[in-house]
Amino acid sequence: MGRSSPLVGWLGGAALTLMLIGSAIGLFFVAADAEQGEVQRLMYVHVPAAWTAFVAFFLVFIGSVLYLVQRDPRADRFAAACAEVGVVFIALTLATGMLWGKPTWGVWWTWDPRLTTTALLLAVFVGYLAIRGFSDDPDRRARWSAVVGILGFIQVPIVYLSVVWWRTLHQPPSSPRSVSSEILWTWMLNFLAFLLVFSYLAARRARLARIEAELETRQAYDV
Amino acid sequence: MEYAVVGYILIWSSLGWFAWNTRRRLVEAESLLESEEYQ
Repeated sequence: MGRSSPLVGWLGGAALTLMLIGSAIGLFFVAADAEQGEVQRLMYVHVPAAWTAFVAFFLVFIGSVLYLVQRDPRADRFAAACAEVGVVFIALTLATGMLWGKPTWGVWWTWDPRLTTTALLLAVFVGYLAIRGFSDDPDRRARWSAVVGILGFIQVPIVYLSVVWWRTLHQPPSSPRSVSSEILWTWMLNFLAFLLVFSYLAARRARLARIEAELETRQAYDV
Repeated sequence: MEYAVVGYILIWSSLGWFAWNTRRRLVEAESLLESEEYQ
């Protein structure tokens, strides 16, 4: 099993650099919102974190379908790596949303449709990761988690459309026409930074899973 | 501003911890794999 690709190292460096720039711009350089004030700066990480989690769970869906069709362990490891990093991003989405909610809505948490469906999305993918610990048989583990990964992804459009379908405290989805160009490009910059961070972490996690699978196989032969 | 700063610290510390933890586990797993290869 070869060494980690130097490309992954470059990816990590690029992710770190872009995150530094994106955070500095979001926190210090973009003007504070006229109505919400300084707390609106949280949106420059909250929204991109949510988008990154959605991308991660879409990739879990792709990996899960590929595994069920091809029974290729690489697809399972890819899905699991994306789920692990996706869970971190969706948890950060909720945490930054709560930090924004307290000074803006007056509460840390409310059972609003957007918040509730997002919390459910987190719970589903924590369940996905938990299921992977239930079975020692790699094929059974991959099959079970692939089914949860596919069903779990259905939750993503529900989260996205929850603000359209139900009456909610959360604002409706933003579009390039509903926000200023300054907000839009800061979002895009941080989204790109988070995508690079996600790609780097998922690549490292996939490599870890590959080595652990190799060790697991050797242990099975030893027994 | 405090809420925003806490949020950014949370983002950086969480992703940093995750990256560090992944690296630590990767180094452990790689050394275990190599030690078995040399046996």
